[in-house]
Amino acid sequence: MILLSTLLIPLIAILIISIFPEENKKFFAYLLTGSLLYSFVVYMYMLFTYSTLYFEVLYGYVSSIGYFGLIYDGFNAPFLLGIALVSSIVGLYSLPYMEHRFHELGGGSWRSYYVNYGLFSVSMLGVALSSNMIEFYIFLEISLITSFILLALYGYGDRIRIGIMYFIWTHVGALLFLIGSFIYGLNAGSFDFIVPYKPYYMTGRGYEVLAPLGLQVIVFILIFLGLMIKLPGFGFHIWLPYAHAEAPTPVSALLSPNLIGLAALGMLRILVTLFPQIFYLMQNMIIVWALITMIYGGLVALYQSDYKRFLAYSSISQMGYILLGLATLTPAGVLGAVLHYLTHALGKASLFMTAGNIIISGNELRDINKMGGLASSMNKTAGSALLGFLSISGLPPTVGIISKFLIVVGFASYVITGFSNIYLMAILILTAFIGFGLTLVYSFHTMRRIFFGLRRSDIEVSEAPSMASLSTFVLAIFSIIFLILAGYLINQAHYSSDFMKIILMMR
Amino acid sequence: MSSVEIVWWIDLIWIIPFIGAALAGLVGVFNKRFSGFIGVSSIFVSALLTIPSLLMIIHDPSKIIVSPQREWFVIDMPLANTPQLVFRVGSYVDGLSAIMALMVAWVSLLISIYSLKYMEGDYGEHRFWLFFTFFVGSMLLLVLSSDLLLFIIGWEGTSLASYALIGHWYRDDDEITFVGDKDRKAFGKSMFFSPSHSGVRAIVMTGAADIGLLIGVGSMIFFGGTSYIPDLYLSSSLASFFRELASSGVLTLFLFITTLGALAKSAQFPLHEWLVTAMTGPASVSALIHAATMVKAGVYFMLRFSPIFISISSLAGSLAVSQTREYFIIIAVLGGFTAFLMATMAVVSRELKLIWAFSTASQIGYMFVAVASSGLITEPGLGIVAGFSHLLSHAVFKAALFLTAGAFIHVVHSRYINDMKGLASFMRITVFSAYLAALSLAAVPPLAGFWSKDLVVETAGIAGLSLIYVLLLFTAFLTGFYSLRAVGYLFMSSKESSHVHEAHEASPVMYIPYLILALSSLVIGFVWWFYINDFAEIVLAALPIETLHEIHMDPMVMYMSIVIALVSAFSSIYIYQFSKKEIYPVILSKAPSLEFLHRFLYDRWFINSIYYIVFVDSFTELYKTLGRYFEHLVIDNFYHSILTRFASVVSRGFRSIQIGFINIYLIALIIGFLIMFLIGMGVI
Repeated sequence: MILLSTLLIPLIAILIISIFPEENKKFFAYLLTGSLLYSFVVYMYMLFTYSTLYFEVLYGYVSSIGYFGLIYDGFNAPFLLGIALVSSIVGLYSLPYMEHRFHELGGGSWRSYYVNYGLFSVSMLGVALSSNMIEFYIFLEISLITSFILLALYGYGDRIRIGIMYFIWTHVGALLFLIGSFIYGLNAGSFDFIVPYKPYYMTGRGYEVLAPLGLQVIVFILIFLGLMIKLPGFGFHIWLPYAHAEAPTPVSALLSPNLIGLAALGMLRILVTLFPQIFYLMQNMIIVWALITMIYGGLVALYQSDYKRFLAYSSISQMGYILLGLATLTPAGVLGAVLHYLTHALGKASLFMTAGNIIISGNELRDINKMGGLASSMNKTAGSALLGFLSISGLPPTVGIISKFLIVVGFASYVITGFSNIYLMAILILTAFIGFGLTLVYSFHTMRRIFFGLRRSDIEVSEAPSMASLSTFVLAIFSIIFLILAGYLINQAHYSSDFMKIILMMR
Repeated sequence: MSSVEIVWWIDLIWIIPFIGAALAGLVGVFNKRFSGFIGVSSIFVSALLTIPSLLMIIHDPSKIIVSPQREWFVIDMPLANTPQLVFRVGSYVDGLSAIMALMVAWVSLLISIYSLKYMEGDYGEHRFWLFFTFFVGSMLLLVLSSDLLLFIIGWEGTSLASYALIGHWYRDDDEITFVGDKDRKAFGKSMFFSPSHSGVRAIVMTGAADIGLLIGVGSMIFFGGTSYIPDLYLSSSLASFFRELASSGVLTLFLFITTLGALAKSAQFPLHEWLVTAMTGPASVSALIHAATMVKAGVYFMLRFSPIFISISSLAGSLAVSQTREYFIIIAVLGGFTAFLMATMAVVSRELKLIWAFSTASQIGYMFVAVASSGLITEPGLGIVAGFSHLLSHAVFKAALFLTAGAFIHVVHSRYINDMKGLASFMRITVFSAYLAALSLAAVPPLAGFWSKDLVVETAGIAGLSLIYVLLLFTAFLTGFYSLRAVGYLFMSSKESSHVHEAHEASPVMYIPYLILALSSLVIGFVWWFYINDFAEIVLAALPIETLHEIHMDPMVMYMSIVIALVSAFSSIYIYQFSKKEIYPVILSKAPSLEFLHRFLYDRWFINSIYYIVFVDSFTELYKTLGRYFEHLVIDNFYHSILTRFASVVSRGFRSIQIGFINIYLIALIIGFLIMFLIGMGVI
């Protein structure tokens, strides 16, 4: 019941928070952070000790639905670690930040904030742990609702409108996903994508249970589009900059790297596992979509002058990385994609936290054009931002170097093995150069505009409260620690090689 | 086959600087000064460790030394030739990496001792030491790693460190840290670069080109089935990969893409622009980047991989061999062109550090020509030895040149050589060191630079690259001229500049390092001839190419080089030291038609402006159009305005039907029934 405890202990903490009186905000923060840290420690422990897929059945077989279980394997390990770590540290960070935000809003409820925040974090863990589409959907739905509440209650700007926009968009995605799942599940007799007996992964199950190819394609497209809205891919991304820029910064730090990347896990767990043939059929299209997402996100990020909006567009571009790695369906690419989730979680969350630090100490300063030269007064924040940018652009000493390497290699082997036309190959490789290069451009260009050079306005900015700046820095340092631990993360996927083999054989 | 010896402490050579870097950053929070001592001592320890490793290699050149290879992670490769790809953490020392590591560690140590004084009291002293030591660690990692992934990590680490150090003075508030002339524009593009700007240029240019390295080396790992460097030498799966690429005609392209990272790192045309503005960093950083690390990494890549390319393509068949030759010709042409291009820029430049920067890229061009020639001649070892020996001699004299440049700039508070007139009578040791190093750069015998450059030129001749051969000889002439011109200013009379009279000799902590470097350039020059064959044996023993019989230099080429070096150096000495004239203003006033040529060279062939116009401006337009119009007018508008308006129109349409009149409902009902009836009858 070790995996269940990683959900239950934070849930108990949330229950305790919900019955305590309002003013114990520090107690709330430490309790929630501690309980999520417990989950993190458990996942770390499992990273070092387990060497097989770990399946925990919560509730036996339910006819026509399947098993409700929690799973831990090499593919969701980076997701779990990323979510648990980021949400626990951001839980502490919320303390100074929401203090500031409540002050600005003229009041707010710590209890409601932490209860929603905790449920949001736990439900994301649940999504990553789930073994079955219904379970996946339920957890996803909880995370959507709680994040919507946090956004609508404590967000910036036109927060109610943006909250509703976020709610509708993500529910259109969730609905498409649900319809697809129903068509599959009712035909297949169960909604499982992983079962508690060998060979665990229901690889190619969609082909066996959905008779006409057309039906498979329909189910694939419904689920794919649903997840593509969630991811988001280019074309469906427009809700993201609004939601992520206007959410209170701790929530952005959870929304942006953690929640959206889960769609990639959904694709791996559901689409790749159940419908590998259809995935191969659509592979070229998905790769092109991923490349466009990468480049478009990067380009539009360059245009932004609002720091948080900039980060939101950068997340879109990063989702392109993950989708690209996943869609190559090579061992390197898939491993790179799941590892890049962790890279992005650490990097982007610390970047959002640096944005929050500037907001706290610079009197709502978000406009990059009014920053410049902040490194002199905010050295901890500047250091964290540098580490964050290094992560997302895939440079050492962060874990980003490994994930980017694997994605690039996956893409290269896709191009080399899949094409023989030299011009087509050259164009694809050139596109990759632009896509990955743009991340460097926008990262270091923005780093310069914010932290280096001369001041461009006379707004006083000092270092944020030590709780905020230190927690940012600690999270950023983890991207170095995970470079050293990257070996364990990749080795976790070792025992999934049978899964990968079947996938490769279906080409 | 060579014997392997396992030595556990080899890893420490690169681990210690990394630990030193972390400690320097940590301690610097409390005491900035102390972080410098941590940095220096950690580099010192790894420098000490490089000596026994080299001695072991010298003792038996055919031996290779590895550290215990710890498994890092395994990637399963179902359906591939090698089902499991194992990545390891460990080091690998053969003659090439042992000598390279020794050079990197010791030159860095001398530079770091100099920096103790040079960076004293700087506002980012501990940050400097953090990245300086990290830089040395990354470089040693990339030199010594036995695993290609570690090699890549070290490689990218140098990118990060150079970014941080080039932009060290990030406040952009002191014009002495800038590069270029204020208000100078070429095609409307400013030619004045701040430290923070230069840092971005460096990391973007090298980092984007490194995608090519990741693609190339990554594919070699995954298709070759191993990431252990010695295993790649004769890997049959790599050979079959090359064969496949060759049969679809993309091997040349593949190899070129793989080399892009090295071209950018070593600042070869067309990716040379970042190095020029990298002069915004402290002088010791310039010395480190140009002498020991960074730009040398690209050459080291070529030295390490050219033998692999040669041996694998010969395994892969004639098609692969011919495409590999094409690739080597491309690299040689780029190297030769860079050598010439940068030398012409150095001839007209007015900034001391900038002149040395141009000359670095130019000299690296020589090295690239040499290494590329190795793929075109019957004895590949000659090219490797020529390139590597030029790398070493260049490292020594270029470090001395940059360190002395730092001392001069420090004294006169100006970057320009015409403000440094007359320093010769005040800073004798520094000027002596600079002069000796400049003579070595000018390839005046018997200094180290002469021998190694001569060998490079000769190799290019043997390879049959006659155009490049001529270009290199001409560049040698330019080199002699500009290097003596730069130091010649120190001997001119100093009426105009007043600071010079306050000048005084630099402190011993600063001058001892560059004096050592300058003198070693002389010493290496004297012993070069006697040891070159032993050197060649040590370097080549473990590489997958045949060893050389003996290096004998063509006396004709040697006489020609001597004449060129002496003529160019003496013409420069005559103009600047004896007649003490600034010649360009005189020439330009007499022949105004040369004004354009001067501008063309001074503005770096307008390449910088062209890049800004072609790449930066077009992308700026693109993202502005996308951000301003496409994102808002098309995407945002479609979903949040058009779609919602459509929905409201539709709902209004449906609502207007339901207005409560029974007779309309009845009519609708009847029509509905009628239609259903008709459908049922099969009429519709």
